[in-house]
Amino acid sequence: MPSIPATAERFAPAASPGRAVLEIRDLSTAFETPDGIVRAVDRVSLDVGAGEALGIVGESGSGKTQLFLSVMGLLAQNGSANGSVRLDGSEILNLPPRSLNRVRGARMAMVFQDPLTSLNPYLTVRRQMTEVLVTHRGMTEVQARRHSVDMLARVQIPRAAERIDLYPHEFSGGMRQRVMLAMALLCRPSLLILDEPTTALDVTVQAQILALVRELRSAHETAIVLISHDLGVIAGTCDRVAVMYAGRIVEQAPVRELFYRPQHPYALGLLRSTPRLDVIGGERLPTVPGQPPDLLRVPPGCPFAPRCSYRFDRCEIEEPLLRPAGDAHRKACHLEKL
Amino acid sequence: MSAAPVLSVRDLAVHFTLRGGLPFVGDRSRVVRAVDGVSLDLMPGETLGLVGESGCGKSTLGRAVLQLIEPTAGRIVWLGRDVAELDREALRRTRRDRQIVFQDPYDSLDPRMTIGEIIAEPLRTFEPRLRADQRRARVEAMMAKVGLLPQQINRYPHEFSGGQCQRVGIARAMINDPKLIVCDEPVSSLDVSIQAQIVNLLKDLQRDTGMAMIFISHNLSIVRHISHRIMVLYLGKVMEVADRDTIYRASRHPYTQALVSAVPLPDPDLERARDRILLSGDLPSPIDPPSGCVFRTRCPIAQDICARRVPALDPVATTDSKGPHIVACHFRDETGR
Repeated sequence: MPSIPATAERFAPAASPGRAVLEIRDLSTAFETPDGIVRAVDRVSLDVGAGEALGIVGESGSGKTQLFLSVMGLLAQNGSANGSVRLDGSEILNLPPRSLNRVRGARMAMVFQDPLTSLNPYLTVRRQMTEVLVTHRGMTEVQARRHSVDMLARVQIPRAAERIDLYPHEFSGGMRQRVMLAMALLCRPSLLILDEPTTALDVTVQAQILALVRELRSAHETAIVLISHDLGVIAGTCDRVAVMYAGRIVEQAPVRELFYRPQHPYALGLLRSTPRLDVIGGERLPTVPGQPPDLLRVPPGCPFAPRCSYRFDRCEIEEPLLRPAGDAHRKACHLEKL
Repeated sequence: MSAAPVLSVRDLAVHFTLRGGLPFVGDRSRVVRAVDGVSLDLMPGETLGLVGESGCGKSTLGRAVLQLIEPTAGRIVWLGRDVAELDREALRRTRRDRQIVFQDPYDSLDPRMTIGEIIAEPLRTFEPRLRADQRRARVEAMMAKVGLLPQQINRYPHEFSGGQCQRVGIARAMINDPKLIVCDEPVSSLDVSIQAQIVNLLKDLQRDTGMAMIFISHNLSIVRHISHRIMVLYLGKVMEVADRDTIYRASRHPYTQALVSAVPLPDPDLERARDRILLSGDLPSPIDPPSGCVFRTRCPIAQDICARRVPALDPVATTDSKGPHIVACHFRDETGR
């Protein structure tokens, strides 16, 4: 296991953030499919504090995206969510679309992996940006345009006043993701959800966007949820991390705790099997054997048990629930200590 | 490693002509120089990593050395013979020894064929006289080698996960015991825990068979892990070549340095303490690349000379690299950090 380097600066106090902006309680999301019911999110509870950056890690099918699509009220037709989601104290889960539209874009916003599919190709960037401000803030077109240009400049789009009249395809991938960030921040939301925001981008552009996210965060005090499969992206940006597996949170901890003292065998496996650029090449990579479970047929007990090298009898019978495992650290594992 | 390279490439170029553009403006054909003057030698048992951002030409280069895309110019020498001198039949026979594994494991497998048929296809092509039971035995042995269960032989690709489909793709590429496989982003669409399994599998197969590999990926961490030498490409041109550890620890090209510094490390303390070289802007259009050094428009140390003269791809004065360390930068001997 990696050891903890001596320096601990550059970290916001990670544990117990003050006021919670987002409170998710016992959220479950299921999809009806021809093959049966897929439980994409399974009894998740989670808080995001004001100004906090929370990382969500997990592999495809772990439920990390569906969890936040549920929060946003953006589930596909065959999906349904139950439980409770409170934003700034008020319940928003399963609100009717009219009420949801007053919240989305205004108090919470989501940026997706592929900016080209989330922007309307037929409308100029200006039309798409000002609409938000006219709808939510009651601005005039002129005010909204000025405000939008300011925001584009703030996300470092050169010549923003000219380029606001361009169409999405006239921007490069990195620039489009900047446009998405600018749109998301227009109404100063208290919560910004970023779903794999840099996965489709080249690594040099990714570095630019992540630097921008960190900067915007400190300037606006927006709470951020960063969903990523890339542990490096999470390590540099987040205060706290939740690891998801089979629709559940299996570990949750301050970022240094999670990376230097992982307590769940799955989190440990993910960390170990990630090749690192700063480690001399050529060695065999440790692996997590097997594959993630089929969500139509999640095994009883611990969903990770079939792949876990620490499993014992109890793991196959009784499902481990999240429990304390150190300072502000929680894990869903029967092991006393890893 | 024996002394003779399996593959030598000299001044390889792949140019695509774009037609179209605006009507009534005449024939506005433009040329994209996807690969522009690349040379390389690949030894048996060696893995060469090709890295660079999208549009740098790494996939085109990988396909061109297999002649899946016909090069516009340059020489390809396969096992000591210039492929331009081979007749059709001889060329066809070389294909048996030069295989490719693609990025998307689903799209590269025919959904109407069983796993067994997919893996057996190169055998049918190159060893048509094999009896059905012999063929089946070869396929089952190959399946076991790549970690598939022989009893899955009659299943279809849609019944498999991405990682398993990639094992099928590798089995198909390996069934004729090739001397070279080109792996084009073979783990990019797979989950982290599955990536490690596939990378280990490729390394095991290389150790057992002595095949050479060209490993193309935008993920520099994985490339460092699997490659012996690494070639960095930018807008179709080679920027730097050195052994894997030198590329990461002592690279000399400002582009390589920026690439390496941009890769996030899964380590909060190190990641936050790093000095990053943030490149400004995006990749220039390959239709209209910058004059002189193609990287100069984003280069943090560009000078006047960089716009006027194309830097030669020359060895650096001193290096720890095992094997040549060549860099296309006017300031190659001043950029050490």
